[in-house]
Amino acid sequence: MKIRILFFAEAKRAVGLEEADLDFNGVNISDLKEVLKEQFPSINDILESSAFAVNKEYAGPITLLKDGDTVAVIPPVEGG
Amino acid sequence: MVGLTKEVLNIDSLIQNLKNSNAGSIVIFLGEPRRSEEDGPVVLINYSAYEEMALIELKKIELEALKRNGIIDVIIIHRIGNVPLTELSFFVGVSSAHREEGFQACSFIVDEVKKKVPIWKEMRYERDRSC
Repeated sequence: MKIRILFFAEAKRAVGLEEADLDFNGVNISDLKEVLKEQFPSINDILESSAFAVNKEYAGPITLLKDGDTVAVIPPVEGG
Repeated sequence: MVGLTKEVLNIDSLIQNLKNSNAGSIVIFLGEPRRSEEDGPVVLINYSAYEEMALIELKKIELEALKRNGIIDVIIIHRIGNVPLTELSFFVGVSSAHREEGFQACSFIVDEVKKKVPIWKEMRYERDRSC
């Protein structure tokens, strides 16, 4: 399935990209995290402290992914 | 009302929007960039956001606050882009029947925004400007 990944803040700076399209053969966010670690080793540490959102909603490690989903890597937020 | 803006916050106008004849209290929280940081003097903060999701999360927080007893109106506005130390970065306003529920709702909103809304800051230091 095709998954679009969005990078923000320190994740964006580490990867040097705002977004990327992945061919993904896994099932859930936890699987995707492993793929991201392989494809973008520069964000390994950041991924450990980041949350994820699927189609603009916060998602946990067992959230299932489907073709066409957009997944955002959300480093610790700092608003306010 | 919730929003993200690149413009300077017009506090007077926001307060006017909170005024309501049923309210006996308006509680305001204003966030501003802080000068002292461990890495040196900050001259401004650049705020970035996952804007579409940030607006969704801000709306959820607004609706949660409005469910509270006595809360009449809520405004949450966050700046994005460059915010110099002379300007404000964050506005939370709550009008309510009585002050106590207003203080509590305002504190709840600030805490929730800091925990949940995908906004990030990047400090710009004096030393960067001199390079």
